[in-house]
Amino acid sequence: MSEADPEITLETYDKHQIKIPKSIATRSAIINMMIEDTGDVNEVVPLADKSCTLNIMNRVIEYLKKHAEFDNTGADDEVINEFDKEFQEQSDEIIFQTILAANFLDIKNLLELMCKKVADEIKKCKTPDDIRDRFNIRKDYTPEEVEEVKRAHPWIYDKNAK
Amino acid sequence: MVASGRQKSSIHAGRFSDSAHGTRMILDNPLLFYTRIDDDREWKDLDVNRIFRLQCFRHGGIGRSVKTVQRLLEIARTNQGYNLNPPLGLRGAVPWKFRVVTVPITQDKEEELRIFASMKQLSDVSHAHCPGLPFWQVAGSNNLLHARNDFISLVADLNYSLTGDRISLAFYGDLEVEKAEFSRSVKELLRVIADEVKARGLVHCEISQSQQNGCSLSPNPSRLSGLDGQQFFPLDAEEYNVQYLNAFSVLWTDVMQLVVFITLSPKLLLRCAQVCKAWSVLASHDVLWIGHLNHLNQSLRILDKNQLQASVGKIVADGLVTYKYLYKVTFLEALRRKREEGDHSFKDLSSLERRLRLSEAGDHDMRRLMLRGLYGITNGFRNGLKDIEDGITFAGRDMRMGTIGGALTVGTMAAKVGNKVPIGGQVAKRACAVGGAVIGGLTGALGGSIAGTIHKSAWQVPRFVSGCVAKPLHSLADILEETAHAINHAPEDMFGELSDQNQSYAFTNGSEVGWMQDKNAAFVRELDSGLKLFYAHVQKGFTGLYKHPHHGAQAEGIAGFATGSGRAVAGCLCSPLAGSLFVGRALARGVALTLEAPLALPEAADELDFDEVHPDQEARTSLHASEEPPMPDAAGMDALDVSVGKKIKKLPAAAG
Repeated sequence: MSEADPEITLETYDKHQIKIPKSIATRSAIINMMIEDTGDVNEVVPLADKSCTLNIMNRVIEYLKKHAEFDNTGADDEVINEFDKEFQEQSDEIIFQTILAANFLDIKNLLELMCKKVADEIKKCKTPDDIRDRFNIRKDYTPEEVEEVKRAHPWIYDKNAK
Repeated sequence: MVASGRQKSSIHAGRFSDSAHGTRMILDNPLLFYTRIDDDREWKDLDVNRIFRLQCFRHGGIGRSVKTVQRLLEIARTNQGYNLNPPLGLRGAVPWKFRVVTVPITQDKEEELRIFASMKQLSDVSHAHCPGLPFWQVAGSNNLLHARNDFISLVADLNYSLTGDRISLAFYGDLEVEKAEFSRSVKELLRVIADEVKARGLVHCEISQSQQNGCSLSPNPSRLSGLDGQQFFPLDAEEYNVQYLNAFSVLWTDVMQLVVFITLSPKLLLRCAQVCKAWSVLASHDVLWIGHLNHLNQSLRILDKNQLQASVGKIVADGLVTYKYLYKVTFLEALRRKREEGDHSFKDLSSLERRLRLSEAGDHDMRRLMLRGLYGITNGFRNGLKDIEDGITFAGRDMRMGTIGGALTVGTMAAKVGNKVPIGGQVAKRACAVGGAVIGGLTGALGGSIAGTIHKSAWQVPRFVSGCVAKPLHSLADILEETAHAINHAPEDMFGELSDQNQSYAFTNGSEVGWMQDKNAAFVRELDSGLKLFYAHVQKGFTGLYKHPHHGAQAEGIAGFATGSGRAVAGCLCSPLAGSLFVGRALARGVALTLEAPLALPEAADELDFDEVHPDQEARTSLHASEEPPMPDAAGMDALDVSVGKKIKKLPAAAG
């Protein structure tokens, strides 16, 4: 551990400890704030959010490290985009948990990246039913409301309707 | 509906559970929340999932600075906070429709009523039966700092409710200076309140020993760090999460709305609104539609952003209309205009707009105007010369191509002839072929150059005419126009009074639009407008002989009469002169437009055509990019207002 970039110990929600360089950890605004609050880099920083499990935090740290490397080397946008695209390709569960963790940790770029993935998935769905199926959302309209919606938006249910 | 089965009350996710009263809804955001959704329904009649969603919608917590919260509290306490409008400085920082509610922290109904006895929102909170102290559930704020500020506000408010002591302002003051989010005094205050809560036999409540020890079991695990230890939460919290939250609902309101939905086009927003009620509310929020409305207005040159805010900001803020509704109305109006007025309403008029703005700038600096005119003339000649140069270049290229082509053709023919020569052997045949190639090349070069030059010169002539004649004429017209304008204003400037006439720019506007709409009638239109202006200026000059002295005498007596007489004489001389210059300007511009119109008005590449907008074209390629979203198709517009239920007339060309 160098003096210039000491290691910070993060305690995940499932009680695992991860050591990462401070320069990486402080890319999270919340962790940065916590470190500044305590003023002691040796103190374990607890990540109390449920999404901050070891698995998710490893992914988050991977993202932070990679982007720190990109920043240091001045990588091309193409390379960065390629990494980001690959990073997005995860299961829904991991995507959601990563979004939660990014939001909790206040990592704007990561939050936007993963939310963009969600938005892209929404864009792929051509009907509300597709969206429900894709994201396993329960339809909470009553039968009367469904009829009303059908009357108001017939093309949603009938692809031939204009 | 879940009953905990325990005697001890527990709070979780805006839900208060106890075996005696069943599951009830906590009056969720302790400080700020949007207008209630289901005022007429009993909380207990709502299923848990719906309660959770309602709670999500109604939270709407947003970041607030300490000062903002401080002001809000002050406002709330002086006005009792019922549907008050935030002052100007706070608009945008807080929801418009909000109420300040102090969460009752007692299970004793009478005591609860006593606490709220002096509050106007008594009727709202009393029937909610919401005992409990949801410390963790302070707000859906955007970051930890704001969440803590919200919590501090809550604590201060609770303290006020308990003790009537308004210590909060001083407390805020300390915080403002220290910038410490959890100052020692806050912790102490928390502890006092927690003790008070315990002493009153309320819900289990412990103050966290660590400032980072958050609400780990929160079903709304945003970055609200916690304010309480894990022991604050009921044991069934985890069960609640598993049972009632599907995978997607963990994406809470602000993320869905501000990060995901904001990237969607109107069409997709409408589609999302059909998914479920939760998404319907999310996709209808003004924060999403104001951007689309702004873009629509700008595309149609109806209103710019500031004008929109000035015109509708207040009524939207008052809740009379929504931006979504305004978008629908604007879009339907655009479709109506398209049907009635044709496609020209949807042209990209940015260049015209720039010209109009330039014209309306009202700059009468003659030197600058002359320079601009001279620059225009120079630029026109330069463009013309460039066109000639292009023509010569093309001609040279054609000459070369002609040379090569001719050489190949004639050489081939000569070689064929040489092959048929019966005498001289191979040498003679080759010599014949080479000679033929040379002759053919020269012939081809000559022919190619002549043809290329003629062709390209003919091709460049209109551009040359446009560049060397039309553009200088435009410039001359500008000079005449500005000179006329300057002369027209000379009397007013001379006598220290600004002109009150602005009809000349109505002419500019009308004539310019006419130029865009009907190219063939440009000259007639220009001339007509110029003559009208000439007549108006002559008339103005002569009527001024009476008007200016009369007004001057009425205003300032003899001195005013003298001044008015001077203005009248000057105006009588200058106005006809200005009018004649306008005629000259109209003539010059008419000629220029007639020459230029067939060449200089290509179809705009970025012309906006509603029917050509792909319905599934997405709004923004990146989340924070400045690209504006596309517009939905006509059919998609029908979904803009689910509740209206009106049949919207569709265009035949509307995309399905």
